[in-house]
Amino acid sequence: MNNLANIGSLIQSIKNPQDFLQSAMNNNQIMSNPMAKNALEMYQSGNMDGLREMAENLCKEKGTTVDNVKNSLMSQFGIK
Amino acid sequence: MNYQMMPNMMNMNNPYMDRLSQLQAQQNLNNFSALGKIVESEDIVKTTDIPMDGNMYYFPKADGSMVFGKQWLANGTTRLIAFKPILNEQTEKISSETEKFDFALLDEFKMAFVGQMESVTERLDKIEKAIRPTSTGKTKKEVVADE
Repeated sequence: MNNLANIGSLIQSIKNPQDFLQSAMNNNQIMSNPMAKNALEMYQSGNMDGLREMAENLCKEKGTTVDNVKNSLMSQFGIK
Repeated sequence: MNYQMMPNMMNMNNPYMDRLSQLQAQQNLNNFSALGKIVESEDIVKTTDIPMDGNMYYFPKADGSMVFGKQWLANGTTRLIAFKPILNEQTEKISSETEKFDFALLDEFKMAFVGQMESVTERLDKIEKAIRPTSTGKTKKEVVADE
């Protein structure tokens, strides 16, 4: 039940990205994480290239690629 | 009317204080660099996952020759640092001098100890002779008493 509530609040926050961004910036736990903080700052400034590069770096560290992750996610939702 | 606020009651009435203290404790924990595990080689460090909290995690090498540090950077990559001991002429000289000094001290101690043991042995011999029974079967003290 708690997980459903979390998912619900997440969907609500995605609908309103400004509020989501504001709440994330006010979250000490997120802002104390350098990677999360950097991602938020890039999102806030509209630096999509930086975000894409971060995603590629993360996938490379985990031994996969962005396309593999995307395909995996899509397949989980039943989308080809 | 007197009120006595019990600490437990305060926490029950103010859950936000608990959450705040939890976050603060977690932040203090995040500020502390942590120990990974002892590894045999650098390759094991490369394949070991660490938390993405930005803290440096240390992996000492099993033979003690170096310590690896690994951390996630803000751009989504990991950084691996190797810490090696500083071995120069000065530290090697100090360590060898310390070893020489220890041996000299040990020899001196041994000589003093042997000397002490010899003197104790001599005293014991004298005491033994003093209380040794004579040919009559009596001790020297008993012979003196009879006289």
